[in-house]
Amino acid sequence: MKNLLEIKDLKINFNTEEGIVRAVRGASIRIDKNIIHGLVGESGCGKSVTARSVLNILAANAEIIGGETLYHHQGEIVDLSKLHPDGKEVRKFRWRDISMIFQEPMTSFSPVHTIGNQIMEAILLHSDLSQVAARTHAINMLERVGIPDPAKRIDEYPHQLSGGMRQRAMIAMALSGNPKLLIADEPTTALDVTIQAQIIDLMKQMKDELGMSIMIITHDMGVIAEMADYVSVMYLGKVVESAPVVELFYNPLHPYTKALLKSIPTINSKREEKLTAIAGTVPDAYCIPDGCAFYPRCSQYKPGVCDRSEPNLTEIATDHQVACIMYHGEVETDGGK
Amino acid sequence: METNPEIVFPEKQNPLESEIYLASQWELIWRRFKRHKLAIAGLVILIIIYTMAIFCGFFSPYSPYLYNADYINAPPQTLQFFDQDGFHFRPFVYGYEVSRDPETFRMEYQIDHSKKYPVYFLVRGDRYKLLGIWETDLHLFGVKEGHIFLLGADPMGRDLLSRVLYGARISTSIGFIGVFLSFVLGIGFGGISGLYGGAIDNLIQRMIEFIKSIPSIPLWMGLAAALPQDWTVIQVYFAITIILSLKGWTGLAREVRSKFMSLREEDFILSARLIGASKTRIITQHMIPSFLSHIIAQVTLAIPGMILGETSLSFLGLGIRPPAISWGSLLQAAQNVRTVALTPWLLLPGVFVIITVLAFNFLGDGLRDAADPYGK
Amino acid sequence: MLNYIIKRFIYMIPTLLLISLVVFIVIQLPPGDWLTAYVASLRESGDEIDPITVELLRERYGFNQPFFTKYLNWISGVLQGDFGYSFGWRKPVGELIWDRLGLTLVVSVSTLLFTWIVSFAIGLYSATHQYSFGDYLATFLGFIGLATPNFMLALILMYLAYKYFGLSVSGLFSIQYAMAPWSWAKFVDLLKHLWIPIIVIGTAGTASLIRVLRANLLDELGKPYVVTARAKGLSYLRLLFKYPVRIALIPFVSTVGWTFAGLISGSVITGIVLNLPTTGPMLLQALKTQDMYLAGSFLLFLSIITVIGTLVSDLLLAIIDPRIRYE
Repeated sequence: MKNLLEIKDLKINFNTEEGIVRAVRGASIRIDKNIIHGLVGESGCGKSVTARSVLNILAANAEIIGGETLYHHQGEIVDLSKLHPDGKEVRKFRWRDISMIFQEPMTSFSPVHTIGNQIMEAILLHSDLSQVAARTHAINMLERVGIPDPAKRIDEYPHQLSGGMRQRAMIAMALSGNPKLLIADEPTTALDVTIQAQIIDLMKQMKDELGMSIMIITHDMGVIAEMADYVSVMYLGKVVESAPVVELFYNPLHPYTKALLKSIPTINSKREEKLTAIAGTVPDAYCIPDGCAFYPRCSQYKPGVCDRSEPNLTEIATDHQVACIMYHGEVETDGGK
Repeated sequence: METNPEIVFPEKQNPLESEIYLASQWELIWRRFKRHKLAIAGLVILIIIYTMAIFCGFFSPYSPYLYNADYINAPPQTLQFFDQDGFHFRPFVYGYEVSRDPETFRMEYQIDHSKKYPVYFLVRGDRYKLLGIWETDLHLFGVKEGHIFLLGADPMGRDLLSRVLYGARISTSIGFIGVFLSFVLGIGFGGISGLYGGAIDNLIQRMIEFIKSIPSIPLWMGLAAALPQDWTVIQVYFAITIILSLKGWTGLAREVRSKFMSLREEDFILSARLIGASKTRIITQHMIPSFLSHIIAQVTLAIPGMILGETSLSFLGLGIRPPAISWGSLLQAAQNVRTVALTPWLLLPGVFVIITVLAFNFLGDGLRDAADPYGK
Repeated sequence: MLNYIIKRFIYMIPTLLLISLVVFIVIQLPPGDWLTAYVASLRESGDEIDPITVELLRERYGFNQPFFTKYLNWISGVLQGDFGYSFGWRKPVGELIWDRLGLTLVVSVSTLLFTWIVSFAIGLYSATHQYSFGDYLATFLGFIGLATPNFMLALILMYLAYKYFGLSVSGLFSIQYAMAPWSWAKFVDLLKHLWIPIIVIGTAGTASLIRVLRANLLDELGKPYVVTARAKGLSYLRLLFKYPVRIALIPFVSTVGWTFAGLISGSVITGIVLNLPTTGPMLLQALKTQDMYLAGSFLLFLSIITVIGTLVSDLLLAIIDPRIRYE
């Protein structure tokens, strides 16, 4: 079995004062063992919510209303989405099996507890290690993620560390339980560009050392190109295309993916070539259009077809899935330029 | 990289949204404020209370000074619509049957169902000056024979309702004037502190800390006790207002200061400076409008403290002194348990204090939430 | 940390000196002096006093000296433990104030504890059960508590206790213990009387602290570090108390300084209404009769207690918030 995690037709609603927001509307993602899987999309497309739902740590007003999150664990398959969010069962999987790091290294640590306190807390919670052993392990982890003088840093408070160092400490904390899957929710967005590259390298290095998978959530195609082996593209709560990273960059199929790739500059692009922005804005999550959610902005919109029914994610080629009416039945070979 | 929308598609766009983009700040504030049911209720109650205070002569059935030895400590009467004949469209009150306790010589009142006094609207009664200008004798309601004491009478036989309405003039306006003073001081000191920073800021901050560290009621008592006995009502009134705002401005000044400090760093202030706007223009056109709504909310929340302060001081006999009427000086009649046990309605002016303060708190809370229309 | 404490103590000295000056100005403000008030009250009751005697007395009490001489005399006396003479009571102020200040402190500190415990419990419940019936009830009662003047609440409670239980709840001691020396029985008697002033003085502070804690906690519960802690597999209760509660307590503690000032304030007026043997009634009397050294000493000590309360809250704050310590 090479599957590690399968998210199948996941649906999540937010109950707000203004009404119900359908944040995730049937997303399907498969993450294999020992790979880096990128989840990319504009802000508000539901990618972070999908990621958090894996650990079942959604906000109080969010509700998983359908689908499965199957985690392959020692030959057994557990549906994480069906476990009680505060129950013992799901808590056993958190950090031990699936661990998570976040966008804001500043606020993701409690400001009034030392770094060491917060790392050791997780270690002590999930193992029988003694205080001393847990501390040694924490110092060891801090050293492995490249924090200088870890024996001193461990007793410092988050505000005494720089942003990059905090994110390293965050990674150390997340990896100190040797998880099978690390979910990284926009881990580089809040950092300087040079620090971003260091953190990306660190994550790749740790993935090889520990033999785990990483699910990286980002809106940055550059990060995807840099890190990911496999990519899922999300638009308005649905995965619209899934493919290995090379395939996706050279042969994007969904109009949204194509538009997304055209909107970023590459080092090879000629000076006179213009970047194209995607027309229109992301529709309001309260009134998602009928049919394909992308049709109001789509350049290949077919009236009477696209606004009727929503296409499902269908396998077009090996490992390449797309949710667009154009590819139902036959594969169009017109690739990206 | 975020995709950058260039063209807005008109179709499938929420129609409300484009309106929100175009609405002015005050429109947005009003829109958010309207969603606060309690704040709206508070606003309505305050409008009613202030209207009654301004036109107190018209709304009260009697002169607040009208002394009547026959009705010493008369209990409140209730408006009646039913009698043995059934429903009457015109409300009426029952009269009292007065007797004297042979041991204590206290007046005792029983409802006398044989005496019925119908209530009439827009009746002629005691003369008063409307708004202090026009002399008239028109009252909103009253009785043509007998008497009406909807809130009972005080130990001098004066109508408590009329006294509460007249007392509202002082009690509700003292908060306004006090807050206005606090507002001027707060904006002044807070603004200087926030704009100039450095040593001046440090000095003003220490001063605020110092003023805050003096317990308010003992300080107020000390200052109020220093007011000369021969001062007129107007002098005492303004002195009490000043005493109350001595502490009140400190909170506002801190608020203004922190706003100025954070605004200085904002991009839109920087861009205004870069295009060469003058300092005065930046302050009046950019900074003040952007925090004025917050300050208004803070000011609203500061009024209750003033009202409570006046009530407490007058209750202790250090504030507004009879014959001037304020809610606090009315409560002086209810100084001890025995009085309260025998004539509990003398506590009713306190109920008006509570309602007014509650209304201001609700209104202020709603304003504070609405003050930031772009938040959430 | 030690540096911080020392720094705060040094800061306190100019504050206290300034307070003593302000207090002295306040008690000097009324036109005339105690003798003027005394002569006036004598005249009201039909007595006359020889103007020469008045002048002699005025000379003896030093009422004619310039302001700063009087202030320096007073403050140097205070520093040596001599608080001046109470004309009204014909006793040195030092003999009059300690019992009353002590009881004021007892009432205020027990009210502070009450306020803390109750507002912590209710605020925690309200924030973790947002929009529940209990939350609405707490919010509603909080609003009422904030809107009711202390003395009103005292009168209402006294009225209810009198009407339904036939109890007279004024004072801090039953008659047989009022003058008795301290004993266990007297202490128990004190506890029996203490609850009414505690409720009366504490309600407004409790209501505002509930609001502070609820708002802070709701704010903290939405912070990313809470999600981090959940992702680590912490149980809800353990997480709640280790992180958001701990951090929500920071502004809670920092407002306690002002709450304490409010409690001291409240204890004065409540003391007057409930006729407690605390500072309130004697201070009011002293202020009304221009018994300046007595009033001045009370004002001074009430301010000192408040300043110390603020200091304690600042130190507590430094203990629970490392960001302040390292500044």
